[in-house]
Amino acid sequence: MTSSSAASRKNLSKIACNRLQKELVEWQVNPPAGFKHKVTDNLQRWVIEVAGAPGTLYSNETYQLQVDFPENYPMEAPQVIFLHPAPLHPHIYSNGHICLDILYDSWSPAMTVSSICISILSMLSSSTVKQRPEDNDRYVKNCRNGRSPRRQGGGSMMTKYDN
Amino acid sequence: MDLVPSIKEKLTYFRIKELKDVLTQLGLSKQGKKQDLVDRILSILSDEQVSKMWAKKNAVGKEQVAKLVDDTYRKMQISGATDLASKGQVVSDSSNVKVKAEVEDSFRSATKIRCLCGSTLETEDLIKCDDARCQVWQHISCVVIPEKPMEGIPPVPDKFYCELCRLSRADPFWVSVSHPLLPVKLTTTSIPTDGTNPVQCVERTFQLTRADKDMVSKQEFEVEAWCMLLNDKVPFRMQWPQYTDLAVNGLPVRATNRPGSQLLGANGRDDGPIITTPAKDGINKISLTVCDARIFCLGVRIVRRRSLQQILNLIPKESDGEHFEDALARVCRCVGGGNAADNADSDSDLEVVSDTFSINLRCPMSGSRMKIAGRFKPCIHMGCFDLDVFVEMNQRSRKWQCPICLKNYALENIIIDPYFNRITSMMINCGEDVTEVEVKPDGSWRVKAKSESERLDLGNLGQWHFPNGSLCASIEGDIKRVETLKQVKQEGFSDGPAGLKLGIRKNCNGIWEVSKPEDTNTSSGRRLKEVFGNPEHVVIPMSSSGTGSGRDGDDPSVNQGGGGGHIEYPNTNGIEMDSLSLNNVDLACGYTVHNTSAQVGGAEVIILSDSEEDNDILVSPAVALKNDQNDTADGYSMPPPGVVDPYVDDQNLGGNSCLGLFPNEDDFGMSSLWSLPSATQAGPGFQLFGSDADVSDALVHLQHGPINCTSSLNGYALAPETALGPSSLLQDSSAGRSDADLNGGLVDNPLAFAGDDPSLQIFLPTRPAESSVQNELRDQANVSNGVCTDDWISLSLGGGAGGSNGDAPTQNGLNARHQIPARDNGSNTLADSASLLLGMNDVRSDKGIRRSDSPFSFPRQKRSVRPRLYLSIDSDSE
Repeated sequence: MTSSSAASRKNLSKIACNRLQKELVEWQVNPPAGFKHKVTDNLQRWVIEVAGAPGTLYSNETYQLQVDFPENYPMEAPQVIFLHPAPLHPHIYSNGHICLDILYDSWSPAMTVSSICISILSMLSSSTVKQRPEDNDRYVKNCRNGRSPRRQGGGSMMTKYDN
Repeated sequence: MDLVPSIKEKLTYFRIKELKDVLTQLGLSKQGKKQDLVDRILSILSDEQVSKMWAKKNAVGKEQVAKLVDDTYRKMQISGATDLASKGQVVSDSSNVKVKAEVEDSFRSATKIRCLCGSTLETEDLIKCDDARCQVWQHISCVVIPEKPMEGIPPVPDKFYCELCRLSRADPFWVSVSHPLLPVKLTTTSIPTDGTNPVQCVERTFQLTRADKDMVSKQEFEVEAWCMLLNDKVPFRMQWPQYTDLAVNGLPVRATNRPGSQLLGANGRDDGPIITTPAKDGINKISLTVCDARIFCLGVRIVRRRSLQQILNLIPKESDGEHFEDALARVCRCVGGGNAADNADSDSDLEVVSDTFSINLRCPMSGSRMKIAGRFKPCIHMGCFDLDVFVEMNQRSRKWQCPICLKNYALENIIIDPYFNRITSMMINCGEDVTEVEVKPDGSWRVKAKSESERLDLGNLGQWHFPNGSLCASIEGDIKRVETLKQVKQEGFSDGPAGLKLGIRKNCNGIWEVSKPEDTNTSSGRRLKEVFGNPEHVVIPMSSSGTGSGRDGDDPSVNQGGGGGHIEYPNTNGIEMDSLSLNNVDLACGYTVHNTSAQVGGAEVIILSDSEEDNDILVSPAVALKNDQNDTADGYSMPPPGVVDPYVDDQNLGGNSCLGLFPNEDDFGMSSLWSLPSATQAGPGFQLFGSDADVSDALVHLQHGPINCTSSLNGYALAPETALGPSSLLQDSSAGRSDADLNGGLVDNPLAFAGDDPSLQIFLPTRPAESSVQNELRDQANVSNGVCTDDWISLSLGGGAGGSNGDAPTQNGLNARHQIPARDNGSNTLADSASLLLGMNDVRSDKGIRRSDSPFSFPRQKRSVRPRLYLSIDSDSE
């Protein structure tokens, strides 16, 4: 038997591969506004450039998202973090981890990279203050090499209802 | 018996609460003063008869009552003490203040009690597993755990499953064979004072027999340790506690890859580690130590692997999962969007006022169009997923979670959606990129096309289907179905230039077919064969024996030789007009509708003529005939100018003797096709415009088109037949008429008509390729002008068919005469039918006509000579 969490760095399953290729094509045809996919030959890790929406705290700023897909994508959520430097945001830790529920418990296989990007941009855009999460230091210290703020207690999770 | 006094004494200690509990257990009334309650209980002891009142519990005797009272009494004593005592591990114990009533054995003698606590005594309130095959009873206080420690016993859940049944649903790919260690609770060993999580542990032994060990040595069997959170919000999954430390026979086993501190998210699924290797036959020891405040249970089982196919086989067949009506009702509800507000889970996004709603059939998992549409039966949304993909993905992920609403289910909830599966299976051969369908609130659907050309490519699927997958009938419900073609006999025609017969058959669908008579020696006289299995089809055979009556008909040879090929114009949307159009145009000439002078009364007649436009309109019959609904107009991509040219240029047209028009509804997916059946045969002989070869090919091609289309129609029994029928007919009947010049024919008509007949003029231009033929034709031709009018009139049915007939024909129509009488009848009927057919879409038909007009504006009228063709319309007016 396999363990779900161990699977995340394994090679993509066939279904995951097909699905990702479809998403990529879809992206190329109709990319979400404000995002740019940096072309690589690695289907399992996407790096996406995101431009802060005009009229928000992050306008004229660009950041980079790194999206890693687990073997069982889309059954499991991709791991999405901001590459350094991460934007200052109450739900984004300084190590780039993002507190966004759709990346964890509220993930649905019906979501796509594109929809994630839009959610993240929406999260950025709705911010009224540029600051780190309250428990940033503790979290980052405890986290070390952990991937993302999965249910470690502490930080609040951004949910779709927060907006 | 001293039973009664002792009971009496105990009862005196009872509060009302206990008394009520006892009475509840006994199924007796709880009403009255306290003393009444006591008396009621005592009365049972004293009166045997009362036992009958104990409803459901058969044969409960005094002893049982005594025991019940005794137990209640005992618990009453204990409960005071336990409140403080049992704090430790299981919160539930302490919070359980409920009176525990033990009902005597007899009443549950058949029940099986298996509880985490290890006791099989019915010492407490019990709850039964809702699995139909399990039905094990467990102690409520042991298994129903409050969300938070202090909340007390939560209400009994609607659906309760024991741990083993939850386990079997957690991962159907592993089926439990046996349970060497039934689930046991972890017990708290120490409660830290600093508020951190307590340490829990359990250490047990389990036995594997030699047989067990042999079994698990096989590849598909394993020994598995499993763990489950009792009050997991995701009921069907394993979950290991935080900081799990598991060992089997002293060997550490890694239970999960999660970091010890990390909790399992709602989307996560733990797994059971395989302990086949460390386990040995005989007695084994398993120990688990964790640091977690929640209540878990641990078990060991022997499992057998199931294959993907085996799992798929467990899913009920489409017909067994859900009634089609239920699925349809759901779709209608979702698409209709009416009461989205009623339910928080419905797709409120769908609440759009729209005639149609686009639904993407892409599987949310794979991103590809679903092949088999699966769903979880309890879901109220209509979204589906690809069954095979979903099951395969769950082999790894074990989530069994609806990807649309994220509710957690189990394999047993999966069914095939009968509504969408019908669609996806019909689309199985569609291109990968075709993923959307349009659905009306009544559940009818069609594949959504991005462009008209794509719709043509889709053929039948691009047309509206009923929810059950059959093609929609025409909108007009009132259209008569003509069951059989009436044949209008044309008297005396044999000589005459062949009349064109238009046999119009309607399908129930509202498709009109114009068909030629199959074999005809005499074009006029022929009967339309009812080749068409469907009475409903209206076949409009247009045959003109331009050359001579004799000629046209029968022989394919004629066509070839005489150049009289049949041209059939089936109007079916599916067809590609463009390629054909030019070629067709020539053919099209054959059909001219004049509106010129007169306006046909009704819009109804639209088909033939637009009242609006006075101009002469050549309507390719197909167009005119078209029924309704269609956007067919599109189908006619005949650029007027283009058309004109051909006319002018080709005077030499091979003259196709017969034009078969089949106007079908758009729904048919066949757009106006012009098929020349004869063409193939005619091949060389066939002269259309100077370049025969090309044309013929095109024509041939066309023919295929329609045929294919028809065949493609699924479920539509009638349609295919009709379509095929005509084609076959055409082939058989080689030559309709041969007109020397198509143009001439056309031209003539208009003149003739100009006066009166607003109605359609349909001409079959026939040119005899051969001189001989021509001669004949011409002879006839002279006469012909008039003739045409008559026919037309009949066609014109539309508005004032009656009146028009009389007038118009007179001028020109020589040939027509004889037919006239017949025509009237025919016309009337036609009118009716026509109005029905054509009238359906006034607007559209108008379009069609207009377009056609320009092309057919005829300069050529001069050639009037040719018009021998008659259009006799046989309508079955039944």
